[in-house]
Amino acid sequence: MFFKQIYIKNFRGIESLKIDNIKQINLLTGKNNCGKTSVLESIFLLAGMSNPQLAVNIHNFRGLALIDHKDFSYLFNGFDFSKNPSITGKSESQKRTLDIKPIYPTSISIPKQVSGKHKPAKNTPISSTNTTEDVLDGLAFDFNVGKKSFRAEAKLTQGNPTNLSGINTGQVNVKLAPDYREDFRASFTNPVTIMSGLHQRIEAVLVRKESEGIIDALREIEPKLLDISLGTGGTIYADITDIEKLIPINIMGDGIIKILAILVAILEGKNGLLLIDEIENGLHYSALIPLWKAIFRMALESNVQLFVATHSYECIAAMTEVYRTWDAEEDFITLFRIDRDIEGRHRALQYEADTLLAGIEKEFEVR
Amino acid sequence: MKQNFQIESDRLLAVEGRDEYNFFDSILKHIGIKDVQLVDIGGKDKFKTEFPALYNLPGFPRVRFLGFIRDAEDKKAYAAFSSICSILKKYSLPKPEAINEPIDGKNNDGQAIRISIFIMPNNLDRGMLEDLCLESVSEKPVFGCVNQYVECCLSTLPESEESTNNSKAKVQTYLAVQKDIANSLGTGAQKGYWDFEHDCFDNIKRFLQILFD
Repeated sequence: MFFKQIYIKNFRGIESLKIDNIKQINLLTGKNNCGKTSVLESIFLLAGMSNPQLAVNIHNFRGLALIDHKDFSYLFNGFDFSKNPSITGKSESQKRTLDIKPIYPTSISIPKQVSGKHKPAKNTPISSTNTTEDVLDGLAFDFNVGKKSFRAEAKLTQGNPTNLSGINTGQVNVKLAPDYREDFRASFTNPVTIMSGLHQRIEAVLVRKESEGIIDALREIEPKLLDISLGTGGTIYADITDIEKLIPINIMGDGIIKILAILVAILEGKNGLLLIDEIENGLHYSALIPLWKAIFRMALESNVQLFVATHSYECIAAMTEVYRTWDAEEDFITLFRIDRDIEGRHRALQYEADTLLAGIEKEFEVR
Repeated sequence: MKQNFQIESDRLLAVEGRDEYNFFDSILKHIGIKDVQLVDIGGKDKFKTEFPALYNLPGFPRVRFLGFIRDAEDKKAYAAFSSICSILKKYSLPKPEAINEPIDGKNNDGQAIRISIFIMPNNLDRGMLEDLCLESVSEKPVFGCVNQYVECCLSTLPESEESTNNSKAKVQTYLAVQKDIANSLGTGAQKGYWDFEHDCFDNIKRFLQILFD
């Protein structure tokens, strides 16, 4: 399933944003704080809408811990619990919608020290006051696939588990929708998470005998690469033609291990979705052309849809140059520059493939 | 760090290519219109693919005056005009009712914008900028020689080797006999080899003045 259209409402800083004519490989650009990461996060939540744990995870990706339910307000536009985030995605065969709502207790005893009139909270959120935030009971993921509706819930409890990024996350109790099973794969990666568990992830690829595609793609960067294998202690080795012993892949050149991690992520998302934030981070510009060659190849072979955020003109130009020489039967790339209009409303300005090719050739600013 | 193309003026003039860029840069200076940013679209077939890149630039909402100039080429002017109008329609921008008639309207941010389209050579017939330039020097004695030379060449060459664009051939020939040779129409304009005071340029000068001045 490839998304063709995404509509985001009241999610983080985005009051409203429609992204249309989405392709298989989608680049997101825009100034700092324009909402690129929020767009990626919203698509991630939509893809995994049956799992409200993701609402916590996306904050951990940003290095942010959610301590109590009030912190769920980070998801809501203007931190206002009355503005429910809503994300809709359409593919050729499916429409899915996720509405994120605060859960309030069915009855509330108003603390005596708070003056003024208060109504007991019901299932629908009431206006955002400190009082209601204080009594928030969790977060609901109300989601629809076609005409069927489901609900999953997440509640935070005090605790001290620490995730892979070393962030104290609190404990999340998740109540899944019992009659829904998600069969759509999606993953989110950024400079902090990209290398997480790479050794184990490659091991899984090797066990599934799926490494051939990755090796082929990596040969775009190192034509003499024969194979990759794993050593003890987390070392990943490369077998190179004419070199008698295996060498750690880290010493092979600019960013090859990061490219390997991206390719593994694509493979893991087979027939699904991969969201990559700041793809250029840690990569020398000379690695960008081979990176895109490898990404195109892997994404097309693995049937993965990509949304990739970048600040780098060199990264955009590299993707465009690779596409220029690609024998594409139909356009599979596009770029959306996330921007705000004069009134401050978000918009996604699209560069279709032919415009991107012409724009890069003429050195138009596309970031 | 190299700066990519950005919108720096609220007055934009989109033209077909580098020659047109240099030509209109010269004629705008000649008639005293300043602060117009020229955009080299890169060819008559590129308006459709390059205009979105221009439209998407951060500065586009601040553009107040937008002109398009392209050649009619081998079709009547209306075909080229319609082609540009369809691009404007796609981006919900005001469409002029007719060639060389500016329209005042609003862009998608609700800001005022004036848009006008000129199709070379005369907003009616087939042809191109080269035809106007040649007309501007057609009364010079040397122009007879240029015509004779090109016609002589054409009568001598086998049909398969003949130039398919006599206007371009004459422009090159005319420029080649100038004291300081110019190798293109645009460079010729910069060197003052076209007579901007000739009547044939009145329409295009009026177009620029009404749009920008």
